[in-house]
Amino acid sequence: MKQITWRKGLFVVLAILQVSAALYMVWRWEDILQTGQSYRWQTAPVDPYDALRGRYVRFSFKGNKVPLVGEAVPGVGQRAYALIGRDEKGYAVLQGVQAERPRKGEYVRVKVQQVSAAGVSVNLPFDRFYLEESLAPEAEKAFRAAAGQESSVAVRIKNGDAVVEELYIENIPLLDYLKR
Amino acid sequence: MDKDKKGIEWLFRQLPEWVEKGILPQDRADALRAHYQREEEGSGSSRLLTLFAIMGLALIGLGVILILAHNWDQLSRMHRLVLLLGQLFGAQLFAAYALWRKPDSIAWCEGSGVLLALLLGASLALIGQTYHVAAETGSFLLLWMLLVLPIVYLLRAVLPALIYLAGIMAWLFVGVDYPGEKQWIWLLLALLGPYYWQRLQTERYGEQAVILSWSLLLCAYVSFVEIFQRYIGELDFLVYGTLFAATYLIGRCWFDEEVSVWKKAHKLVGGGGVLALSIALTFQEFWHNEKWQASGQEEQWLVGALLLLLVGFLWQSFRKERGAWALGLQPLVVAGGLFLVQACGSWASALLFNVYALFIGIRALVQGVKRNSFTRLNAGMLLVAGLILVRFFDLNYSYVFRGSVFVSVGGAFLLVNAWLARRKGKVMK
Repeated sequence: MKQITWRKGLFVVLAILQVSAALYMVWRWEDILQTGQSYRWQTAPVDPYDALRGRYVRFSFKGNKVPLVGEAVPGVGQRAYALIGRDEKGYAVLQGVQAERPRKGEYVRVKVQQVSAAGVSVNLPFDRFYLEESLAPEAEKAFRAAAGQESSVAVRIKNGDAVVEELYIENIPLLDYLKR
Repeated sequence: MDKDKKGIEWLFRQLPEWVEKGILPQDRADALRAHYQREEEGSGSSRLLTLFAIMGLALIGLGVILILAHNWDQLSRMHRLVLLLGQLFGAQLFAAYALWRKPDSIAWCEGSGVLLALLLGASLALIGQTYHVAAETGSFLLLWMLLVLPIVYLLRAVLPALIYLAGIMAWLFVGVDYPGEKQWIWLLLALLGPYYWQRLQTERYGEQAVILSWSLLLCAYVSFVEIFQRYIGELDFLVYGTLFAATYLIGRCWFDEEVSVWKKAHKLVGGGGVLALSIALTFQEFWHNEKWQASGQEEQWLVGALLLLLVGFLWQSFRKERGAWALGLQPLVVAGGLFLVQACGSWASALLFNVYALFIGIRALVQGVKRNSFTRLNAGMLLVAGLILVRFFDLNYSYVFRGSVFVSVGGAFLLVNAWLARRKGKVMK
């Protein structure tokens, strides 16, 4: 009998833990969306599929090979920090990658893909935009039709973490563009 | 059957009274209730009902995941939050009901455990979807599985344990950034250890323990190959031989009661592995590129550690006075073969294994006859016959000659079995 009471108590703790884990994730991303710095990145999207989370549009970025800053060389697959600047059109660009967290300036946490003399290739932590399953292939078609036009993604960044806000084709939000 | 049921009902009505009068302590009464409730559920039609209940809940869980994956863009972020918390809370309530009201019901505990495990995953995935979080599959799987693990312990349910195993295996293959991280899988597997141990203590050959034995063994072997394959070079036969022999000895030392053979996962996997490897090593071709030399320091360490483990199990097995040495010592024969390759050539090693396999087969045959055991007798016959047959494929004999050998071996099978059946009949009389 004693044992079952124990299990009941621990179950309540587990239930709270499970809900808190979910809520913490929500809070973390919501906080970035509300208070993070806003950036626009130029992209080129493609359309894969995620069995568990549904369809999404994935995008790749131009110029994600960037010079190494500082002495320490990050290993492949490890975390590093990419410093963010803006180009003449106002789009965000990566200016350098370093192994330690920067003390000042805007940065985003990235995963190192390759290290060579030419620079460091990195994976940005935002590479996808989830869509209703019927819309994802349409979105891909729209991107292909609009090839040559500017497409971009709006991202909020805070303390190195990033959340995607919106995807744009010719400066029109994707869903509005598809409804046209 | 009906009588039994009435008896159990009567017992359940009596138990509170007995406890009140002090005839039976509370914990004994609980144990009795748990025992008979499980027994009742384990019988015929109620077992089917249990199975349907679990399947139904698992399907609901998977269905919810798919419905959420549709990604309803009419839903605002707030709506999604309410939805994901709602379904998670619902699954938790369901599991809580099982734990509070039906802690001894297999159907309730297994079913609600599976539902909670799946819907928890759906909730975490929905958050990722809402915020377009990039593919951090590794951390997503780890978080999910570490929150599933306590369900196994609290609901005493084996199906959430299988979800956990599937999840950590998925992590091993797709969630790891660099190879060194893969070693954590041993810790993740060990986290299920206390539950497995507890199942073994309660009912060593019960369904839950047997399912766990098979799946843990499978996961351990898959992890071993995935992690260590890169280091294994010249000594591959020795490494896998030692691994199979060690598994076999675990079976001999701790899982060797008189129960149906499928309940002895360790003995089957280990013994089967040792025999299959031994048959393979009777072919000369397998020895052509072998030599007694580790291809790197890692391989030396690996072989050393495995041999040490084997010696430990061998010692344990000798202490229990069980004759497990014939299969348990196979790695020693492999080592002998490796020396012979260098000293005389591959034919000598192949010959050594032909003698070894023949010896194992004949030994099993003799033991089968001595103990009137069909399983042993046929296992021995199968090995000896297999050995003869592969040799005839190996060497170039005519079809007619090979055909005759097949017919004679088949005939010998039938005759020996018929003879043993008659002898057994006489002994019974």
